[in-house]
Amino acid sequence: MSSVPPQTAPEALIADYFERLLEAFEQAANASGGALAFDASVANRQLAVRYSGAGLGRVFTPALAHLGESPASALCGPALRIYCWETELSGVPLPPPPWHWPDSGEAQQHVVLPASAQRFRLHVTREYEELTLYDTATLRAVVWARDANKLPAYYHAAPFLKVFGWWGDGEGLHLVHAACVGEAGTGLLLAGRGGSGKSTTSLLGLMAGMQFVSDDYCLLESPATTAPTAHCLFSSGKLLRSHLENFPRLARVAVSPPEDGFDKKVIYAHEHFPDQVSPRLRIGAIVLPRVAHLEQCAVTPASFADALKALAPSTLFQLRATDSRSFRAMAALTRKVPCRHLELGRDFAEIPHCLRSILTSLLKESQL
Amino acid sequence: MTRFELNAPDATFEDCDGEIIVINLASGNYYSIRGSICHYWSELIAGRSTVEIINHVAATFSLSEDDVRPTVGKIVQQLLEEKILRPATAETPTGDITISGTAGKYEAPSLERYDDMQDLLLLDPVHEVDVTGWPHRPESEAKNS
Repeated sequence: MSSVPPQTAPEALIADYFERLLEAFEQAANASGGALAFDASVANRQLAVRYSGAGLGRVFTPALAHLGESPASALCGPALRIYCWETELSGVPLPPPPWHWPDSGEAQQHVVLPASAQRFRLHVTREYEELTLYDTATLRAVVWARDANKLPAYYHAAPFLKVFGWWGDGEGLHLVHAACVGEAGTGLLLAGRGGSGKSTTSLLGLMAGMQFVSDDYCLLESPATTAPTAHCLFSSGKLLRSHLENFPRLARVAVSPPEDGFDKKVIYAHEHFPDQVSPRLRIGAIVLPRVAHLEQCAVTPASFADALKALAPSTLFQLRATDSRSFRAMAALTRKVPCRHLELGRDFAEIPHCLRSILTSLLKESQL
Repeated sequence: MTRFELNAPDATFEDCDGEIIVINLASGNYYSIRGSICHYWSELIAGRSTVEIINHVAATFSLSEDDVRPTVGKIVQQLLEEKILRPATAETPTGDITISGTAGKYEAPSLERYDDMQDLLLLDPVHEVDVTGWPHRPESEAKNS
């Protein structure tokens, strides 16, 4: 575990609050008959989640349930520990924070702590009454929600997203906004802003028997090496309710968490395609899907500048990057692997064929 | 003021062999810079004066300085307005100007701005530290302690 540097006043204030949150978690767990444990591994690192009761586990665990525990010999680095509790079931309230809430009326607030408290990361969502505080020195996070039943679909589909991003920053793992599917250990990283067709393409690949790492977010490791890797975080796939009619097989198994502004249903891939959710894939190429309203799909070369423009802005702005490390990592990846445009035609059955043709061409190129 | 530097850490960039991609992490905008100015990007953000750059561009591409000055001046002004550049604080670079890549034929500079990601920032606005420091203890709590 990292050594903890001397504390300055704001940092001490936040550190004190972090401990009070942990105490509140313990109280909540005791009120519920003891904490529930979920242990797994992510990107060869240990993940230990503790819930005060079953409510938050029902929200956060399904998308992580595919993450098995790795043997200790396969793990590197200290564990990421996340403590979660809710007030609704436990009756334990959120301790009063040592700050004034900005009176802006905004639904979400990404709060930047002062430079002297940069050991901690904080995110609050006032609309859903949720708070996450992460300690970069001890790799511990506390997640509080007033009522687990009110957390919307994206909490179910991508639990602890902020925590994974903050934690990854210190582990050489870059959380990227991209889907990833592949075959035989080689993956295609599907990049583009929301609505570009990442989810559709990755879920069509899944249904066609391909390995699945993500439909929206994954952890990028070693981007500048000969083996850049996409690690799986969530087994979830999301589709607009209006789009599900095109996927009757998925429509039958999609679940409906509380609705949010994105109006999507969630499919937990490991429950229905258990052999295809892969913990990681080596990234063979970056593919930029685009809804083209053509009859047939088309694959064309893309420049690494095109790939960077598709991958970096949506990642950096969605995840609120505050420095250029993640941008550098994505730039290194775009220089390292081939990039392709994928124009998505109306014939969905063709899309997995196009993905496979890209993988085949990569194999041929590597044999030349 | 004719010397500038990158407005880091808000602005960050990648040289994509003939195209400079710039991200402004604070505004939610990103940019594509093209043209022969890309050969001079590292000099520009290192604080080399625009006058020196204009003179070098003119000499390299066999143009008159009057031909080059308006277009280079315009893009530098745009980069300032977009908070990609700021007035330089570092010492003026000395020595000869070195350009990246092969100069080839002169292409006028262009700046393309993409603002299609701003909605992501509006969804999750950042609250910065204010000058008095943050966080503050609630006054009622401070009085009681």
